[in-house]
Amino acid sequence: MSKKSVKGEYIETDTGNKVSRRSQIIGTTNIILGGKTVIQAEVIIRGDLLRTYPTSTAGEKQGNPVAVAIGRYCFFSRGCELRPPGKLYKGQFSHYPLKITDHVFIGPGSIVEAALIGSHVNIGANCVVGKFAIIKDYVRILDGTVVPPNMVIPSFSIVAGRPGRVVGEIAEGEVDGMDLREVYRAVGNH
Amino acid sequence: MSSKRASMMPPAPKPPTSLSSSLVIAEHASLTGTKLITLGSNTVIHPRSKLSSAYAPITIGNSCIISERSQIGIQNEPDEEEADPVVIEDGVIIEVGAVVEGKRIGEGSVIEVNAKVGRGAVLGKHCKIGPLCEVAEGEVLPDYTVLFGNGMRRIDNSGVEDLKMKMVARQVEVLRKLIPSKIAKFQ
Amino acid sequence: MSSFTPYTYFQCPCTEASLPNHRNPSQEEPSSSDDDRTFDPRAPRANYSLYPLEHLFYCEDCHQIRCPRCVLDEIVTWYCPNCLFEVPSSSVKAEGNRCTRSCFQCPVCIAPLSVSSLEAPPTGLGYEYAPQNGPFVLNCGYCSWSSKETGIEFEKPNGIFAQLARVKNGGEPILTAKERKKDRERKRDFSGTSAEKEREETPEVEIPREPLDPNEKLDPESQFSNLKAFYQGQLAEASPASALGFTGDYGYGSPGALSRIMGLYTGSTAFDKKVKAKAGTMREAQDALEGLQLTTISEEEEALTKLRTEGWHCTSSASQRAEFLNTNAQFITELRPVAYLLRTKRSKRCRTCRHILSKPESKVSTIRFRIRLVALNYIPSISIKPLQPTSSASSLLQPMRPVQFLLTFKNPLFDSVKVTLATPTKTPGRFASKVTVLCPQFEVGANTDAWDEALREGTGEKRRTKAEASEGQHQAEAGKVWERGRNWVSVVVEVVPASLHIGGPEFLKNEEMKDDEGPLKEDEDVCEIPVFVRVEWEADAAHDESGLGGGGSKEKDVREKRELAYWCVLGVGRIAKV
Repeated sequence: MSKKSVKGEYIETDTGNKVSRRSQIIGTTNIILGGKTVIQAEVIIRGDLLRTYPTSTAGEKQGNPVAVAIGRYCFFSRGCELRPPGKLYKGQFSHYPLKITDHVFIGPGSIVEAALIGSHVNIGANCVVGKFAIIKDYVRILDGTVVPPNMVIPSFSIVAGRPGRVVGEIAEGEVDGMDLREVYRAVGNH
Repeated sequence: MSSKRASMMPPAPKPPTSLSSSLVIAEHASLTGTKLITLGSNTVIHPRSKLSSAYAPITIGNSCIISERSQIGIQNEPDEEEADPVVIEDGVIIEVGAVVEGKRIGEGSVIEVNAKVGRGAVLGKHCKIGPLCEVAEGEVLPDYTVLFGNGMRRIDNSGVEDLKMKMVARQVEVLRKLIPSKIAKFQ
Repeated sequence: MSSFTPYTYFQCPCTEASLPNHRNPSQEEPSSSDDDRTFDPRAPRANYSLYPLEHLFYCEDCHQIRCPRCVLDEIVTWYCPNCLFEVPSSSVKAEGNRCTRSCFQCPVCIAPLSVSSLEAPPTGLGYEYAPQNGPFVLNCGYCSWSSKETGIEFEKPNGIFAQLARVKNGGEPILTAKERKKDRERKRDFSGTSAEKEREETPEVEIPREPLDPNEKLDPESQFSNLKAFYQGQLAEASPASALGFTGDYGYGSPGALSRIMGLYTGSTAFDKKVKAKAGTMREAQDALEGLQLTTISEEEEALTKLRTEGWHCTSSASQRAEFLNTNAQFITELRPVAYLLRTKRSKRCRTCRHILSKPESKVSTIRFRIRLVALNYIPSISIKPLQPTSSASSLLQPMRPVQFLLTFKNPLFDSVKVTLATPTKTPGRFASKVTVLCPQFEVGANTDAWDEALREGTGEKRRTKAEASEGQHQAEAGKVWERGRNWVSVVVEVVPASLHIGGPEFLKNEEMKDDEGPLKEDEDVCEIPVFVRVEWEADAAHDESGLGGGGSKEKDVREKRELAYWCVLGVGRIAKV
């Protein structure tokens, strides 16, 4: 236990990411972190579930394969999980990359298997985001929501329910409050 | 990281196991308990999944996928002297965070994210328990039952179970490539 | 229940303005004495005027807060929420407000449906180039419903809407509206009686089918189109002259008819009478060709036997029927995939002056706003925080024990503002808590460059907080600001929560308590404080106060006094029950 107090809860990377020592990140080489992103304890990121279906264009081949791409100022709360979705396509099963843009908050215990999460998205606690869901910018998903597979959520939506449906719109004035820079700054390395 | 953590705790005694040679089991999967754990051929055990045979044996069939954070086996001490063993038949997918304590999970069933199957429950073939849904203790579900939403249920008549079984097999093939198997650690 | 987050709601003055008209004359009073009236957050009407600051706009012309109730919405763009394709307004008018591509919702659980093939996927060499073969079905990834269950399969994986319009549940083809029209016209040309109709042939329609049966079972769309056609015909016959613009349409679209409808309540005109005289006798629909559907006993019996054999599970739920356009769908097998309703991007205008308050970019994919006059940028925000960190054991307010809260006002304007607060000494309602604002008048600094703050934060503010820590318990003083920053000020408000005891001695009860001694109602234990906030500041004259209006008058250095006053409601916490 004394070890922790010396080292602190988070490992800070050069780009300002704060990654908890107690997070469970698998396949680190296939994960891109844009910087200033916080990953709390017990978060699972499945970087090992790579795309196995051959990419059509040769250009994409170069460089490291990416399973999970994360932008800047994201916040992954305790016990949430990011998992690239998988499906059968043309007779072949393959996982596909999970892309997360900037200022995305994911609440504790939520499990995300989306294909794309836009910027300024707030996912509450204990949500399940189904396979290949596409969440556009400025979306709020309330606690305990189950977003069904393949759902597309347009910008400025508030989603709740099982299965999730759009229950409201983000008001014009709420847009500014969805920035996560302050949240990032508030994370201390205790 | 994990090796350090493991050193802090006394190593838990390994449960007796009967593992198929074609099993894929990740290093960070956890098998605990004292009763027999049987895992069939071409089954995939994801990292961070927990199989506990402390109170009853566990049998998992062929071509199953057990995802991370799922908890298989009786979780708490049973009230009666003997809890029913947990049997998972062939081609079953247990998704992330699901808790399975049921007596029998029928062939081709899918237990989705964070769903719960109570103690002694029996699921027929090709059932699907939706995300966050719960099957009560001792409940018996007929074949093709789908649980979804807030306790809604229906019988799936689409008749595409063969296709689904094929998909499970394909998924296992892919996972075999992605997850390095450490059978030796659990034998 | 266990957790309570303090909140601040702002009252939009739009409800206030209409109030004097509704008040009864005996209470007539000059508007200036309106200030004396305490806003009651528990009044039934209050719910409709209180909003979080984020939901409010600010009209720069009226210099007033605007809420969702006093703005006008104007549709900028229609789009499908599933495929995110923009739908031109012309096709919304022509084809209805649903996506006409391949976007469908599950009729059982409303989750999105996806198209998949029933064929086993191709295998072997070059499988990835092999086209997926049909038949295709719509599948729900959530509840596993499949259109195959109702006997609907598709030939192609795209253009599902058009394909679905041509097939009934069970796989039989549907006559499209166009084909029906053709048939109807032919029938009319033939001018046969209904007996003859049955023998009529339909040679040049591509699908071979039987002639139209007057007792045919119609699906709702065709029934509607038949009915519509029938009444259109009736209307046309009733006013054959069409001198007033009554063409083949219902007749509501013409300016003549419109003025007639508008005149219905304002007094009849000569024109009105003319129309009345003209309306001849109209008959009602007689058979299926005219949209009449008769319920037969055999149908009812069928439904009963189905209920008996398959039970409750085969019936559709009320919510499923509500989602589905045909409310007659009694059984799950009668449900059809529901095309996605279109969504809109809307701009908002002030109802009073028509000034635009918010205008999004018209493209679906962009999230920017061309204009966005939100109240957040004009009036100080208020945040509430307990002064003494409460013990985690209970977040409830203890009755009769004073608690202090910190109200932090943050000024978004580029001019400093003077804030005056006023609260009633006791909160309205049966359980009156005592409220004292220790510093009801203060000035909040301007929202200057953020760099200033960054520079100052390093020195001044840090030192002060440190000083506080060394001082130990910092006492809240009357008339003094608790803490001050670049564009924010914190003041202390003291609350003595009321006791939730109902059957107390008579002299302890207030008026309302005497009237109603019923048990505690829902949320009556929440301590809500009405606060009247008056904000005064000096802004550049003309349109650009705070510089947010953009540019404007450069040469004018005249400063203009501005004032804004409004009610707020602070929800500070729940009172413990004893």
